[in-house]
Order: sequence, then structure tokens, then C-alpha cells
Amino acid sequence: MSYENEKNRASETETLSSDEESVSRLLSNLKRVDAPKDFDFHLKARLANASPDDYRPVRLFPILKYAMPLALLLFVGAAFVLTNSYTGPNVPVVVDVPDAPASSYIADSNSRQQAETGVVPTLVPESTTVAENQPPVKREFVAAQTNQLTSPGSNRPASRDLPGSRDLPSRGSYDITGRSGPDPIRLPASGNVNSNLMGNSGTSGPLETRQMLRNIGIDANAGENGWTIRSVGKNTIAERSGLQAGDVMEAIDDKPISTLYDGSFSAKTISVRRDDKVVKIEIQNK
Amino acid sequence: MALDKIESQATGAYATAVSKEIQSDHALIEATKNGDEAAFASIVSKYRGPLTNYLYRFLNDYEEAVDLTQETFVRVYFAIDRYHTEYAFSTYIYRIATNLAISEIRKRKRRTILSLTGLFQTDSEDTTEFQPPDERSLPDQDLIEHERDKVISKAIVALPTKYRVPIILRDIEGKTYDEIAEILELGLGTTKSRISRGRGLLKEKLKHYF
Repeated sequence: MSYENEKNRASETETLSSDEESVSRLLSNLKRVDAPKDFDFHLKARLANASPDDYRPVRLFPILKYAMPLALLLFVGAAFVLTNSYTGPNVPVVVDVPDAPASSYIADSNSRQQAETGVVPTLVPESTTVAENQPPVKREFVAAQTNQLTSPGSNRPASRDLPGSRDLPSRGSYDITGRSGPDPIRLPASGNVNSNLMGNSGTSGPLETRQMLRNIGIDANAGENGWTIRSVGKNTIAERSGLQAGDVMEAIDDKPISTLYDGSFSAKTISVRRDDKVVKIEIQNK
Repeated sequence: MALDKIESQATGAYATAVSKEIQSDHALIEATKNGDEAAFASIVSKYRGPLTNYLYRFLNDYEEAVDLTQETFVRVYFAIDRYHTEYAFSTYIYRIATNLAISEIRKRKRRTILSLTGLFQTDSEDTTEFQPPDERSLPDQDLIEHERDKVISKAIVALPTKYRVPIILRDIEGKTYDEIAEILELGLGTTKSRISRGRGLLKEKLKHYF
């Protein structure tokens, strides 16, 4: 039998350890079973009943087998990336401003340093000094970060219990001056006059230009030639001063607009490019 | 179907195929492709015994082994046009049988998991031992050999599939390492190491026989 020949040929070329040889011998001595006598009859019946189509290889399946999980993986990955990269509409984040002491209405860089050292700040004398030096017709606004003026252990919004405050928003922002006319206008960096447009960033450190502009009612994007106004909030200083959407702000008080303002900001005029003409707009509070 | 001659020619074809060793498997395949049913009957006659024995040792279930052997031939018959002669036909047909047996083992595992009654089955109920009816009283020596075969069969089936297949092909079916490597689509070194490892495992299971 050819099987026996194969067996002999295989054993001739193999060198086995005694253990392996004993196992091999044990297995080779097992009784062989043969097919039943009616094997051919059943095979013939099986061939007669079988359809060749049942035994054709399915070509599409291997593709689907790998393509479907791959597509699912890509879909999940794309959804994850899009979800993480989408920042949503340009809506300012409203953060509660912790209570400030009643005496700490105005903030500037000096008061921030005082707050960091634990000394309760007072009204900002520098702002007053600036206002006193300006002509009474022109107005000035001062943006400062009041969220630096926090008292430890207090969580109530700073807009509460502030004497003389006006148009206090419900959360986290307030107008600290309550004054009009020739008096200087001071705005907290994190506060605003119009609570519809602006919010409180709740951030500390240097004041960002974008946040400062929001505080006076301007939603703008930085460009190569300046800040392009996207929208102007209603009843804001920007609207009252005559700024319009589409204006490109090139300078504030004839100085280029910087990207950061250290704690406080004051200005009288804003130079904008409108219809290819440069217009200098005075800041109007009323 | 023109397979009516299979059964009638089986006995004669078997003798013819064995006696005509010159006639290679490839020639039989070519003849089958050309519609020669007797050639296919010769193939069946040549391989039904070894395949049945191989699958029986693989599954330790005679009925299942016969069923899978028939299924192997059915697949060969319907895929005869796709057979490439660069492979030995014996390698090709053993590969089909091996794949069918592995699929069957996986089905059994799924059935065992899904079947509630499987929780109460013992190992001895999982497989059907081939035991041809024999009314005669067995002599002591035959009884001992029969029991020894049963123990060895169970030890083989208890091996992991990756060791079981090559060791059956090598030590029971007498295939060469190269043939086994081709059947299992493995490297020669891997094949040898698996056979060696399988023998070691069997030695541990059957140590009281040495």
C-alpha cells in the first residue's frame, strides 16, 4: 500500500529522540478505520442532490469582511475628530464672577497686583487722573479686569450690592461707574454695558483685544490690516459711537491695535477703514 | 447525472487505480475534467480510506469523519476546474479535509456554548466513539488493545488543534514534513516544532504506556 511506503520513506529521513520515537510508534500502530461499504452510494446521492452554485466561492464576502469594519472605524474616527475640532458659534462663555469687596469697584494693573498680594484694592486713581486730563467733550472708557478683585470665600456675583450700578446684568458683569457726561467711562474688562452681546471671560492676566472689544459691544476678527467688525451690539458704546459691521479698525488713539492690554485700557478715538476711507470715530457713551 | 457508474466501478476502479501506480493523480484529475466519471471514481477509491482514517483520528467521531470525507469529495468534484496542478493532489484534498474538520470543531464549540443541555454533558458524551458491533467475546489481548486505542484516541483529541493535525498527518498518515507544511500552509520549521511539541504533550498524557 502506498501509505506504508510513505511511512517508511518518512521514517528513514527522520532522527527522533527515544521519547518521540516511542510516541510515533504508538500512534502508527493504531488500528486504521476505513470508509463504510456504502460510502460510494451515499457520495453519489450527495453529488446528485448538490447544486454547483452552493460550492462556488463568494467573491464579495471577503471585501465586505474587511471593508465594513474599516468603514465603520473611519466613520467613528471622523466623528470623533469633528466633534473635538468644532468650537461652535462664537458665543462668549459666561462665568460667575466671585464677589468683590464693596470698595473694589475698579481694577487696573495696580489693583490686580494688590489683589494678588491680598491687599483690598480701592478705586483706581490713575483712571481718574486720565479722565481729568481729557477735554470734557470727549469720552473715555477704561477696561479693567475686575475678576482679579476677588475676596476669598465669596461666590456671589460681583454685580450684587454695588452702590450706584446701572443696567446690571444678571450674572458676572456690571458697569462700575454709573456716571455720564464728561466724566471718564470706565469699563471692567470682564464686564459690559450690554449683557446681550458680551460676557465675562473670567480670565486673569493681560486683557485680550478681542475681549476688550466685546466689552464695548464689538465682535471682531483680527486680519492683516486690522480688526474687521463682524457685528455691533445694540445699545452698546460701539453702536452709539457709530461703528458698523464691516468696518476695519486700524488704530485706537492713532496707535496700532495691540493684541494684549495689560490690565486696563483707555481710548478716545478709533480709526476705521470704511469704503476704502479711513474714518476716525470718537467714542460716545451716550 | 452521469455518476451512476461510481458505485459499480468503485471496487474495480480501486484495484485498477492501485495497480496502475503510474497513473498520476493529475492525470485522473484531467480525465475527470474531461467528463470521465471512472477517473473520479478512482480518486474516490484511492483517498476515501486514508481520509476517513485521518478525519476519524482528528474528530474521534466515525460518523462525522465519514460525512466530512464525503463532503470533501463533493467539494473536490465541484471545484475540479479550479484545481491547479502545481500542488500535489493529495496535499490539496487533505487541505480541504483539514479545513472542513476545523470548521466542524468550531461548530461543535458554538453548539456547546449555545446548548443548555451542554452544561450537563460530560466529555464522553461529546464525541461518539467508533465501535463496530462485535458479538464475539473478545480475547484478552484484543480487549487490551481496544482499550489502549480508546485511550490514545482520547489523548489525541485532547491535543490543541495546531498540534493534533500535524501529528496525525505525520505519525498516523505517514506524510512527510514537506507535505504537512504544504497542507497546513506553514513553514517547515514550524511544522517540525509543532510535531515535536505534540509528541511531547502526548508523551505526558500517555506516560503509563511507556
